[in-house]
Amino acid sequence: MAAISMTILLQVLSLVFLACGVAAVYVLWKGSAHLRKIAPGSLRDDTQILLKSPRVPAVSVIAVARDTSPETLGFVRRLLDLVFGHHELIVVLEDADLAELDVWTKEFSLVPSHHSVMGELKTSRVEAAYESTLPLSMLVLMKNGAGDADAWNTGVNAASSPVLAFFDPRSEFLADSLLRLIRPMLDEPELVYAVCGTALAPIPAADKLPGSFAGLEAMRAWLGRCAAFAAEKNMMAPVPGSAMLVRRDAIIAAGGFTAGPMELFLTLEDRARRSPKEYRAEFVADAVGYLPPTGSMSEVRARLKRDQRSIFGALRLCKKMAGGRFSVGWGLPGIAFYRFWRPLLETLAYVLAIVGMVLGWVSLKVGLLVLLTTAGMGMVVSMMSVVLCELAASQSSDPARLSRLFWAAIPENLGYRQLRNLWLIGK
Amino acid sequence: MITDLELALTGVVLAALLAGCLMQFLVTMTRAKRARARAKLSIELQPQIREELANFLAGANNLSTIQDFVKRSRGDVADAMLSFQATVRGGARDRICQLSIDLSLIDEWCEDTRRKDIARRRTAFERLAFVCAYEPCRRIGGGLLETALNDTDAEVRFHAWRWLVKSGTINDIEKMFEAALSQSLLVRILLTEELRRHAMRLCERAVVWALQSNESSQVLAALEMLVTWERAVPIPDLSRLIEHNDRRIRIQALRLAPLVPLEKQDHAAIVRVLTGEDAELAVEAARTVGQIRLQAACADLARCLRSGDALLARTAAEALAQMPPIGWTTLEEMVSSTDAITAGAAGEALDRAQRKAKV
Repeated sequence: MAAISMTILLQVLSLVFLACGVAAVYVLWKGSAHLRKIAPGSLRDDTQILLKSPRVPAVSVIAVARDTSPETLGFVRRLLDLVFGHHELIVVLEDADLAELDVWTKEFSLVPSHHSVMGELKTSRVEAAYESTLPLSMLVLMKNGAGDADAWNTGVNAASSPVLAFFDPRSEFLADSLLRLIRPMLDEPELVYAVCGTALAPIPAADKLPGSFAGLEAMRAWLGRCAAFAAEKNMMAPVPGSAMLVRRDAIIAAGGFTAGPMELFLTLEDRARRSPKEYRAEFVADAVGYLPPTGSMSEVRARLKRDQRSIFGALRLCKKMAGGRFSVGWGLPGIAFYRFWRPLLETLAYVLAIVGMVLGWVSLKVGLLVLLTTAGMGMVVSMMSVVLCELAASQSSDPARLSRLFWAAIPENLGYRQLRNLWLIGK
Repeated sequence: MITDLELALTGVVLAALLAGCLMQFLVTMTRAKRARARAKLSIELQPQIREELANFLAGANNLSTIQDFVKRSRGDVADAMLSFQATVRGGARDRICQLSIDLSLIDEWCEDTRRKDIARRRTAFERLAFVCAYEPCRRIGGGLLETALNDTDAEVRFHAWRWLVKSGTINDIEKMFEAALSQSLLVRILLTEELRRHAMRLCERAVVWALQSNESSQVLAALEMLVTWERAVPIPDLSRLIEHNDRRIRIQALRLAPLVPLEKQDHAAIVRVLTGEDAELAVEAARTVGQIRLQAACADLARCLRSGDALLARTAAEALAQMPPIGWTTLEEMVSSTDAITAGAAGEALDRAQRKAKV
């Protein structure tokens, strides 16, 4: 009886994995088709015209900083290097002591400011405000024990521009990112309330296997979560490294931040889906923000974990929204299934298959079935993502790198995949 | 039995997907290898072609080397020709355009405009937009302009408009200006740059008609273009726009005022907005008064300075600071005001102006 139950359970699970794999290939194909549609490669470089035009709305770039680490200071310096017609940088400095403030003051030539920090959103008190004497407009606001949402809302209140920009501190981005991101907002200023942009990191010339695995992960996320979801209206779930532009009035109307920028983006999408007007968020497939390539397994794991936390944070937020779990379409529940339930069921299937075969309850054929529908299907999905990414790109990649990534799908699914499953279901 | 069936199903699905995947992989690898070879050739050829074209523009008449390049890579020769777009004018431009006829490149571009591949179609129209500024080229490719203007792709339509700006008559450009007014903000921004060189001629008729339109969106779009051009063009009856019902139009008209010659009634209209109840408009008006140095409005600026509105007070103070000595005297009186906003704004503006004057 136990043997039959185990065999049936494994067969059912295998069918689920097979269906999941086919669905994943469909989503990748859809993403590739959308990328080909939206990014066939513009011949013109409009950035110089947009840079000079007084009609392009001003942008306030908002960042929250919590330390004086070289990474944080470097990130703020890169934000100061952004090129745009009219823009300002607002840094909300959380829980900084005098020594840290001293570092910030020296680094960015800060002087006390009387800049108004009052605004439409409710926030805790701003301890102090500083302005930079550098040629670029920079405002630093000090807060204590405010928390994430409060810090972001303080930035929104202090912003004087109609459009706000948010960058991932771990991301890399081009200096003209804002000029590239603003185009959809100029195309339909009344309807486009937010723009999210990201691209695949350039593949390094020589790479070890972890780097290739990270590359494959990024390709799947890029085609699925970015491009395929962008093909549907208001269904995007920004990936780590993305840069965002959001209209300030949309943030105020939504009541401000409840957590980080990703949660804000989803809240706005939920509101847009319920609005009778054709409001929509747009996707820019450009190097306006992306996570740099990595070569270490620990970094791959850390990124996976961070992303997993943000997905589940977003899902928890969705439950509170009017539309529930499906408030931004099937995308987020789909990701949650693909990133948690499938790894869990897959690990369970491996354990059952191994135990069953050792005890002689499960035939070799059922074991093979489990392996084909998990690892075999995984190889096809990864290989397909490499090929579809390449077909969607306006410029061809280096053939050697392309080939390396394509064949990396085999070791990825014979070892790394199973390890990744454990990372994804673990805390 | 069921396991066999499932295995067979899985095998078929996997084999089909894998076969498709491998086939596409071969296609992409071939494409990538070709692109790499092409890129390598371009890196090698581009500097040589550009040098040869520079010699040709300088007067050399030997076309054999360029023809050799055409045999090796037609695309690279076309790209190199296009790279001179921003640097050549007049006779030199005609010479390079004539080259596209002599090398039969223009026929190929005309062919490309009928292709389904959007990237090739865009490239073809971009190249034609450049060479059709030259009359003999226009005779060959001119018929395609109508097609491009009605193309489904916005990029192609944009190239057609550029083509029109470069080679059209004033009537064509006026029509294009009129069409541009109803386009999206992005297209308007891009076309504003293209139309800048025709600003004076457009202001003779097309701009006047647009500003007299009953549609606010058209008037607003025309004013935005004028503000962006920053040209001292005559605008009749600006006072009507400064006091228009639509406040967006009033704001743009106020921004335009410092750039154009003003009449007495325009000055009066600006002062009326300055003393009006709308604080945002008053701020714009104060800025305008400062820029045109309208000393008659000093008393009204002083009133704005005492309004209690911080932004209006700062802007009014800045405006007064630009009008010495009357403006400075007014500011000196305001520094001792009991109102913190008034005193602070006046003090800051006066201090900045005096420091600037010393420098």
